Amino acid sequence: MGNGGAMIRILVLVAAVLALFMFPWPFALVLGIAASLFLPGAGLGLGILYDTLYLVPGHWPVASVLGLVLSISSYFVRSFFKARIING
Amino acid sequence: MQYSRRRNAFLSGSTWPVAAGLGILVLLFFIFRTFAPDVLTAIATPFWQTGDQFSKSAAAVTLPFQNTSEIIAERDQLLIENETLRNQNAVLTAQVGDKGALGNGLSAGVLARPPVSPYDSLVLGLGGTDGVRVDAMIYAPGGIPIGVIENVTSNTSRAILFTAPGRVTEGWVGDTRIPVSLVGKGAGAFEASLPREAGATVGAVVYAPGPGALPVGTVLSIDADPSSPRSTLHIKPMVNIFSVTWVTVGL
Repeated sequence: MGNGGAMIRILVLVAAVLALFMFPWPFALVLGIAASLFLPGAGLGLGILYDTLYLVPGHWPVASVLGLVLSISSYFVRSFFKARIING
Repeated sequence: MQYSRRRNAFLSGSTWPVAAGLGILVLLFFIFRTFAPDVLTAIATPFWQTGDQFSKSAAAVTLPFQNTSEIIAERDQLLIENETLRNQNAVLTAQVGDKGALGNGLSAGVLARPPVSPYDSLVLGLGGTDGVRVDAMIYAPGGIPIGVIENVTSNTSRAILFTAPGRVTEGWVGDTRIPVSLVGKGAGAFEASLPREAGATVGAVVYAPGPGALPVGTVLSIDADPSSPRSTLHIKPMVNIFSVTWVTVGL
């Protein structure tokens, strides 16, 4: 992936972070999934940031758990696609 | 001679720095949240304010292109105003004999609300330096209690709404003030359970304790299973938490 690809990665990641503050959570979730596909750890990072900002006592940290699931899933998805490309 | 390296399925050489970065990130957020919440909210506040302005601007831009939507929006606005007036009337009625009970509160702008925050919480633009304290009640326009302050930093505070999932608030239903436990269901909705013979009706006003009994919603529907001795009340809140732009914080 060239400079354009790197730029897209950064833009998606920045948009996902800004969405936590500005947009409804479903929109932030979609951007989080997109960011995770580019950078698997982004899901977990975004989930933790979300809970840091909004979590109130008595709730499970749903966003962090979802972020973790997203990160693990996207890691395996990326591994799968890499393997497919290498093996033809 | 061939050497083989043991391959870790989860952490290859290139993912170690990412994992380490995430570990640092987790640690930083924990430190921010626990020891320096002011720093985090100071960083976040401009973004929340920008988001709030962005929502307002987007609504203003799209309005001229929505003839039908414009009429519907106006109707909705009138309905809200009508409901607010009805609420104010109910509050005043409930407070007869308890004059000035609400007292003076602090008007606080809402920086973040559902659905931006998914936990039925509000981030307010007033904090400890303005006199906000933990456990203070917050009221929507019309004097309707909607939650309590849960966390305070210097310049911001976070409130948890009564409608947060699983949160239990004691209250009353109907003119005869039948005691009931209101259970938050999230997204601004309540549920309650009552014995079938209690006599709750659809449309009955639901009250929460405040200075007196303050109306918080109306009974939308009642699920009465013939095999159960209790019926479930679905309660429609009087305040649309998705559009609350300012609240009053009790002192």
